[in-house]
Amino acid sequence: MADEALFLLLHNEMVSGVYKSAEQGEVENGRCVTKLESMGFRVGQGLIERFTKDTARFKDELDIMKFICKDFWTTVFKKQIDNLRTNHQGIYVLQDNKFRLLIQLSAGKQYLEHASKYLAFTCGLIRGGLSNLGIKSIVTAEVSSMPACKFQVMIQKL
Amino acid sequence: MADAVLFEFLHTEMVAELWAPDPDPGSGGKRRSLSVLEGLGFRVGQALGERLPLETPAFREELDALKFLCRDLWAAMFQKHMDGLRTNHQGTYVLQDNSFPLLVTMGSGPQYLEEAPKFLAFTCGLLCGALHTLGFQSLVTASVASLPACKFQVVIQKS
Repeated sequence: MADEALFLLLHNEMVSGVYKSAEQGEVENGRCVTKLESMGFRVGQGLIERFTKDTARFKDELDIMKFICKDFWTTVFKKQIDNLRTNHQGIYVLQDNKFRLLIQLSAGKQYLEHASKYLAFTCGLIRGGLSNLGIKSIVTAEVSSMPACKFQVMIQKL
Repeated sequence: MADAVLFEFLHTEMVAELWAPDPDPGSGGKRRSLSVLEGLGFRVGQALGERLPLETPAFREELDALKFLCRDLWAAMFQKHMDGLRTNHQGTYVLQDNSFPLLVTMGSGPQYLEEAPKFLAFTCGLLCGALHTLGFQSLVTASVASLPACKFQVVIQKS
């Protein structure tokens, strides 16, 4: 129980720490979100280095996305992504029906406007993980009803 | 392994991002540059102190609280026990970790000694926060003579 809580507690502190230390205009112009996303990117890169050193080479893009949805997600969030969909043209939607970083907020729409603060790090995490697997991407997230969350991954052609 | 690595990377990012700014500098404008990290660690320590299993939670002795930190808290955070605990029996304790996980990757010896305090501030706050949850007010400082060994000095405040 304590081990599971540690990441949640650290993530909470990171979000509040970045916003508290924000300088003039940084919140409005999206700088805080960028900081959190960049932090997530570097953590994602580091995690992939550690976790895949014994893994066989992935055979294609979809194989990599499945790894992110299963092993990578389980490592960080203790469960798999609930649903992975793709148009087979470089866009993937990862749906987590009970996203762990949002469960601490209330269910429903009351805190919907603040949800993006708690998603930025994870967007970076996914992008950083994919980066170290050779994929350049743009990752965005949206919440329509707490605590369900969708991460959209757009693969960039190099 | 997985959880330890995740914490390690996350901690590194927090140090890189938050070690410098302090929005509340205090008198004379002097910045306590590590106080933000200590504050973060304090709150995490408070919450972990609530979640870790306690034997006989009421009327806990001071020394028992310190032993709890050395065993249970350290195991939850770093998957190992503290290497040494010494006290003068007057409220001052020295906790020694001969191979502190957040410093291990910096190498051994004096090369990065100057940077080491940044990586200890969070853990000082963690210890202080956990003690606060257990009912003790304390002042925690850390010192490093040679990486990766470090000592945390805990002074229990009499109220």
